[in-house]
Amino acid sequence: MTAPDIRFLPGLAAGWARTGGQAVEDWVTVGWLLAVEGRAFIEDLHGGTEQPELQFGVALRLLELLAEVDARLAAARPVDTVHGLAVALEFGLREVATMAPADVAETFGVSSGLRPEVGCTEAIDTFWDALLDAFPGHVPDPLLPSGQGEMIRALRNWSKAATAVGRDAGFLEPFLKDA
Amino acid sequence: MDVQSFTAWTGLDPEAFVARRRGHAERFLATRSLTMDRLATAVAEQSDESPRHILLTSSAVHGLANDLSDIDLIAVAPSAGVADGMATQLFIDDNHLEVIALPQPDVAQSLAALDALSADVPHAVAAGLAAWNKRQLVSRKYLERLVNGLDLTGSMPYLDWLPALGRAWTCESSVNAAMGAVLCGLAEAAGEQRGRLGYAVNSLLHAMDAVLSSHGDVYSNKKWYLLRWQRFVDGGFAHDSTADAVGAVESFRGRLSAALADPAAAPPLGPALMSLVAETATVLDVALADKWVLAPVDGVVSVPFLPGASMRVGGGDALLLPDAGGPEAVVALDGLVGFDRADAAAWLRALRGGMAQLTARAS
Repeated sequence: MTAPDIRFLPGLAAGWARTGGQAVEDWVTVGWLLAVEGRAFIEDLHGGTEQPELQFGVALRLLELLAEVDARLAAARPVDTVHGLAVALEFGLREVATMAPADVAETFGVSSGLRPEVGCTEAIDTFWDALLDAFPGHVPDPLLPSGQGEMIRALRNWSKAATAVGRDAGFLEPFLKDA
Repeated sequence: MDVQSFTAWTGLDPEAFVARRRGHAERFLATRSLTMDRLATAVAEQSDESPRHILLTSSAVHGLANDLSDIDLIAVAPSAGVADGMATQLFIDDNHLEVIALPQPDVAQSLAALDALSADVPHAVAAGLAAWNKRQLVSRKYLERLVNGLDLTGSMPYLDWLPALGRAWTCESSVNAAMGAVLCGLAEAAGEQRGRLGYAVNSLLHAMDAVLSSHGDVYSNKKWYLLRWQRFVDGGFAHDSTADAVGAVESFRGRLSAALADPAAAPPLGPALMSLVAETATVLDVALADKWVLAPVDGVVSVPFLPGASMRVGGGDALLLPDAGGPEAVVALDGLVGFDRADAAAWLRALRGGMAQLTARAS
């Protein structure tokens, strides 16, 4: 399966509005997760070209992250980390991208098993680039020198967004500490 | 530090252990055209008071770093109130450094807490580590980095705490492996062909980490588990007592890999995984509970929805479930007996929805 066969962020693309307060918290959290953790995992994948076992571990962690993103975009409470991989493999992805279970397992290298010999990054790279393309706006890259400023600007905008819908911006505190 | 015990445990005496870490660090920094002195200068320039220690940590000292690895440092500040726990990002040439300042009093308190926790029973250790970040001043991630960290002058000032760290991590990973095995069995009982494998993968990775941690190879992030395991299997130091357990893990690794390639064709894995986890824990001297209890989370109430279905309500959330599973169920670590498909599926949904919990119970 190639990225063009996948529909990314279908709920956003369909124009589904949501109740303001929780939506802002979910969308901000998704933006943060993609910018900080997602980009870090992708860099880990690229660094591990001589370390296929590392790439396997990173691909699993990225899939678990995407399972959380999927739930938040579906306005659902994400499952605990212990269940994330199982849920993604059993049910596929739905809101971050429409992907059947078998396609998830293949794209993220799971179906290749625990003796990875070559990197599985090409399919993940294609997926990731397409996801960021489809995401509304530019997702900051804190791994770049210029990315620190982008993150701070994003956090300021997100704080204003929370205020705009009457949501306490306290949920941003862990992100501010990490920024 | 009991040199003989440390040597038997890790295969190296403390001096050689530190020298190996130093070698990893120097080789890595050379690939980045950096030296420990240059790092020390850069960090000291950012610090309000002269750090007690500046530690190089993470993949660089474990010999795992690659071309794109970050350079993670900890500056131990002499006094409280200077360090705010927030990481500083630095760039030297094209190298990205992350430096966190931790006050020495907080470090001392957290190391004492580690000593106390590591002496507790395994399930209490696992629970203590799970709650660590809520209770302790130094997060578990930085605790592990401190103990494993290499001072830029070439010593490991917190090496004395590696045995406690290793014990704590061995217990936690063993308990996590057991929970994963139970969930794999439950998912198989529920008829999940692929979800069960997700639990099995994580269970096996945790079993690998438990063995590694029991040999002094302690590292936090799950993304590194399989690489560290492969390095260990390829010729790392292993205790005589763990040889059979290592073989059993490798054998299951092959079986699980075949299942991942064709989930529909793969027979049940839960019973074998539960046995593997239990036997490995015994070899590592980790006393696991032999029973796990499925029960509703405290405060969750069940509200009728339609005949045959209810809403579970708790903590501001709601979950719609078919009526199955009962008020409580016990799973034995040596197998799931008496679970029909509908009950298993209902419990799994309730667990995933945060309305039920799976806790260990010793007989």
